[in-house]
Amino acid sequence: MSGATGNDRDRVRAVRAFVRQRSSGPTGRDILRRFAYQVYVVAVVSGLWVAAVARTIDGPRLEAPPVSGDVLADLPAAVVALALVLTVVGMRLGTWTGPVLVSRPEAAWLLPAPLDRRVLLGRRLVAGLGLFALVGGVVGLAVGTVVAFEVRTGATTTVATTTLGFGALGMLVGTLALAVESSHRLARTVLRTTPVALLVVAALSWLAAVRPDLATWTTPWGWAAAPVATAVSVGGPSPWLATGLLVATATVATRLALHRLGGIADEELVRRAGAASAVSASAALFDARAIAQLRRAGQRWLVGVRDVPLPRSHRRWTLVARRDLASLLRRPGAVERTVVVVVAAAGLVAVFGGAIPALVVAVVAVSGVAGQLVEPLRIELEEPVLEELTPLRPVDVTPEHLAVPAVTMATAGVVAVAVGALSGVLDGAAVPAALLAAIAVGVLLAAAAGLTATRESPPLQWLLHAEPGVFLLVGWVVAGPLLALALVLPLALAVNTALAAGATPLDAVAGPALVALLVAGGLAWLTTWRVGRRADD
Amino acid sequence: MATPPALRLDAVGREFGGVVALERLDMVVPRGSCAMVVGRNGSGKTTTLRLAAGRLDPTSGIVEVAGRRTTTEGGRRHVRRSVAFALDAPLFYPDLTVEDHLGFVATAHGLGDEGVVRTDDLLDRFDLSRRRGFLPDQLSSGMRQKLQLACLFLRPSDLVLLDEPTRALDPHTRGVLWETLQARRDAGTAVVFSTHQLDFPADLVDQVVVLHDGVVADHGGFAEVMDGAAVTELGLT
Repeated sequence: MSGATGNDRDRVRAVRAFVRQRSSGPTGRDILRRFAYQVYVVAVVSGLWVAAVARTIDGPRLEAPPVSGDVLADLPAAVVALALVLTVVGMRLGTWTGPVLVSRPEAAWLLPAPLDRRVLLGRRLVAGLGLFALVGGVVGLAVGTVVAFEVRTGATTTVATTTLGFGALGMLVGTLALAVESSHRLARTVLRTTPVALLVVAALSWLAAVRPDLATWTTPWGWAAAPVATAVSVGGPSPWLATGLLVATATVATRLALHRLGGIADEELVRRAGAASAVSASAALFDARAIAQLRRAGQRWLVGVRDVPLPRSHRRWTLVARRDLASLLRRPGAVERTVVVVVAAAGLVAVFGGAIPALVVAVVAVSGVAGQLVEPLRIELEEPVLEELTPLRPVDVTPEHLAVPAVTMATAGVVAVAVGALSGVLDGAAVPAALLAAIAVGVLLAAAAGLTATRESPPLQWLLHAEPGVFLLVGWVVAGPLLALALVLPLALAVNTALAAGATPLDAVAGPALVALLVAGGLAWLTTWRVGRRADD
Repeated sequence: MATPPALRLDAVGREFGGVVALERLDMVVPRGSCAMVVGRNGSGKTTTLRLAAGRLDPTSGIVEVAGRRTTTEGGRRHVRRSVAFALDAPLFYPDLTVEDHLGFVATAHGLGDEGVVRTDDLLDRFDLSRRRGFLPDQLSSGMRQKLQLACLFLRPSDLVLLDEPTRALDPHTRGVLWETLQARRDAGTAVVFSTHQLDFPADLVDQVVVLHDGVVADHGGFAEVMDGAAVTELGLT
């Protein structure tokens, strides 16, 4: 914080003291007491965790699950990929929040004041970087614990160095996020190149898997994985040396970041203060949708609206489908995310041979993306725009709002089957059955998402009554995935039973697929009925 | 049988939780005519327009659009088809662009190719052409109001209702609005609007209703009301 004079610091201190004195919020002592309590809780939980891990690893009773040497040898490259993905995610976070966050009143009253920016924001940056380091440290602790369980030798060094290394990496990522926060151009570049960056990470991981001699963890971006490489004995820099280098880099980057603080534009801080305030309000309600909307609004602010070259609709029956398709294509990454999640979910089910836990994970993930596809229906139910602009009512167009989600989900399912067939995961003879199943399940989950979308938002009173309120809120959030599971699992069990009884894949799938399509029709009718009833209420 | 007026309010009253917002309002707006509702804030202007648009049901009296009561199912259907209403706070789809909104309205009203021509004309007239790819939250309040007006004038309607339509509009666009309203009125559409801005052409308005605390303070021809005591006493001129 060099450059700021003692006078600057005194003025900032005086303003802070004034605000604290006049504020009806917690006093400085309250904040300190609360902080100390949080540190105490984190220390106790971490201590218990480390003790439990050490005891379990050293204990004779628990045998580590057998893992092949090949899998262990691939671990360092996988951890490098994890570190790179975390870096991309952190920089992406810098486009709409970032490590320096002020409250909305501070943004409105303190930022326009003639106070030294570095003194005013220095503590915020340190707190923000601390949070990035904490998240990194938790990831490192998890990685170190898993590796220590498998390898069993040098557990303390492995857990300590991965935790410290990932913590330093988190801090480093925080400084990169600050650079993004400080520059519109960089923020726009990060937004536009994220898909390419993730593809590069995927390609690098694939390359590292087929060419083990590449040893990606020996490069600076792989230092966080060096302790893992040492633990599984594939060579590389000493874990303490790599971790020390990471800590030194993060320290230098933090010093530089403190110097750059004056470069953040007021409008950025104001925008982020609004976003952070709205995100905390939405997070308190478990409202992932509102958070996604805020994220999209932040992206639009930086890179504008994606142009969608769709022809104008001239016919009433294409009106809503055109509207929903335009909305879907305009949301950055919506189609790509749907396809990736559906392909990954199908891959998971295929790899684990239709096992129930894999099915549960897959259905929950796919129901999540299906929920995002029915966004236009949700908007239709929230604001009476349709009735203001047209002679139509929401109930008139409800079934049409399900068309684009159903077609998108079915198409993503077809892509998943194509990927499975081309990669050899799926046997050629099973492709027709897989196609039928993918289409039927896609349509069914889209219809289920439509029904879930007809619910009113959770009332705020639920938050005010801690005891039943939180449970009701959690129930509200998990109702969508539970409905999807209740619909898909019986059908999957029917298919598994038929296959076990010797039926051909197509015969085993045909009946349940027909049932799925009929149930989807029923759900569409139920959705329309509920929308009509909402209007009557 | 005589053609019913575009809008008729017969002894209409409306209460909100015991608070009287409007009391015994009588008003008849023939086709091809224009009525203006003026009054201070909270005088009942918005309530009057919402009642006329069927968005509110009267607690007493009758509201008829083209001879059909707005409280019946058939009346509501007729209102949805034939009444265009510009709200004081415009509502839009957050995920549709300016051009999408106009295309949506044109298709929903079955305008076909005519809709394309009129859309382009309205985008030009309301200075929205360069913002056709913008989402509503990227527009200023004035531009949002222009978009609402463009959507309103695109759709076919027998009765146009506008609540404070000049709010946030620049003088040029106010001129465009008055011209467009005059053309719609001359083509046979009935127009009712509320405003505080009295810079419209004198021959646009055929009748004026002055409201004060939900009660009619004056009602008559434009010149007659403007020369009367009520508008001066209420500080509306």
